[in-house]
Amino acid sequence: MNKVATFLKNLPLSADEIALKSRLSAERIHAFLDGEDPSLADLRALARGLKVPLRSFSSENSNDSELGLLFRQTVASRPDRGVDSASSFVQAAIELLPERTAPLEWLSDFQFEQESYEDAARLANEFRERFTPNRPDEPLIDLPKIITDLGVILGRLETSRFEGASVIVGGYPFVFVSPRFSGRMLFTLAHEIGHLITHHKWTGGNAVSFDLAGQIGNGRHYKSQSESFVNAFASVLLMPTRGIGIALKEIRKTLKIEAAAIGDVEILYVSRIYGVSFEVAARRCEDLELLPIGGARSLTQYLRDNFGGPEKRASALRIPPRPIVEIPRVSHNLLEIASEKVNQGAVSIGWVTDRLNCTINDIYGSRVSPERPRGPHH
Amino acid sequence: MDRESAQRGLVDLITDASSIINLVNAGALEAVASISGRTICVCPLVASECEPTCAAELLRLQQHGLIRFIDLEEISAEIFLNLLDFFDLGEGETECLSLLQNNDFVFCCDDSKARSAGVVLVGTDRVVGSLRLLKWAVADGIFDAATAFEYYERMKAFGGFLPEVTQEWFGNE
Repeated sequence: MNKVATFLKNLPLSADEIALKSRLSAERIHAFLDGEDPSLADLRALARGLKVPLRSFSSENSNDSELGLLFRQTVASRPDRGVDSASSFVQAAIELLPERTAPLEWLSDFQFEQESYEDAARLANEFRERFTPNRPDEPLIDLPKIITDLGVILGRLETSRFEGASVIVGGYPFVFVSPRFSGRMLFTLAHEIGHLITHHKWTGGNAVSFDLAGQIGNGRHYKSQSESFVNAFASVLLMPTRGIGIALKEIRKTLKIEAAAIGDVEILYVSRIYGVSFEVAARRCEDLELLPIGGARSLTQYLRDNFGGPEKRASALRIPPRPIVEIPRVSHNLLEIASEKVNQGAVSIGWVTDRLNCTINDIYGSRVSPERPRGPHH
Repeated sequence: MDRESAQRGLVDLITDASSIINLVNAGALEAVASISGRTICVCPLVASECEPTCAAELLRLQQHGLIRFIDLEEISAEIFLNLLDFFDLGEGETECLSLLQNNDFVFCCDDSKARSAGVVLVGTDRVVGSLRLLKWAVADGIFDAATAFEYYERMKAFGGFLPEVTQEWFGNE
């Protein structure tokens, strides 16, 4: 039996269902199942319809790996192309990176007693003291660079229902962030760093977590204690208490606001300065008791009802835009190693781009110093 | 038959994304696509590996009859999958190799591992890189060796994986 027939017969789908998904005729699908060799055009139609890469049909299917199974067991329910891509990314990265026997030391240095707000805040402050000691109050728009310099591998979680993921495999920490608006991505990144330093380090082997949008940014209110804990970590890390205090004081002074209560305008400014969404900034104000409990949700709803949402309100007020957070398709610390392997002829450039979900110009660009020209899309 | 003359005799160049992108980065694709007696052929998957402006350039040149897209109906899925398993390359590179087996194409590629796979399949006579195209363009009088060397330096500056050559190399027959 040929590879395509073997693959199709192992699917939990009838010939008619495969035909429907691939937009090929049922007769063609039956012919393939009977062993007729499809053309590459047919194979592409099947891959597109079944939402799998072409290489899934070969006998070296990466999703049958231990890692692929671990990823799919973690997300349990329905298939997700982004999860399969992340699994393939990590598998390829482990093949490219030098062997490591233990996780990065700094990951294990953050200790906590219980998953309380106080412990999350303390860990966030410790993170800042350790890795950004000269900027205790400033925004962390450069968080992607900070953590890649610390050895974390960053990637994008494309075409997935999940918003973020973090993994430690082979001693290497990975964080995946789904492309969203800038403020959202920054918070997701901080949330996943929280998972890395608090939850994943305790597992001896490989550890994976995938987070849906509802799990990220809902402060103390998410049903899972672990998610609430890392949300609190992310919130304090991105918006340090004293920094928020200084910013609010300056904003109120500049805008000549004299009302005792904090309002939507000051919070919009804070959200733009610290690079987070309005709702995340408002929740931080709630945690700091600058807003009453439930105030963040009420203010957000008020802005939606009256102005079409916080971002439209901020634009109408001509508040300076939020700084752009650059989440690369693949972080430079992995791209540079991949590029060296291509140069040595150990892997091909197409192998790298297929598995790391990046472009050839990303690889070429990793060989170019910032002062030199880059491909047309850099 | 020496390598150079064997390559001169074959007209269709199945060109993978590493070479296409190098040539587009240098601004040389249209010029080398004009080399007489040769057609740059591109698989659809290769086109999809290029980024938008590069893909747009391919489409423009195809409309001008300077580049030919290969019909995927010409390629057997089984051959493709066997080559994918055997050489462990990217899908676009493997698509190109699938075409080499039963056709007279010359494989144009700037990736070391994919080129080695091409040599295993069809021998050194039928494997070239983007620099060879520049050299042929010089021989055809499309541009001179100094211009070819400028294109080469631009490809290198954009990060292309290319060997060290001198300007004289482009001018030598």
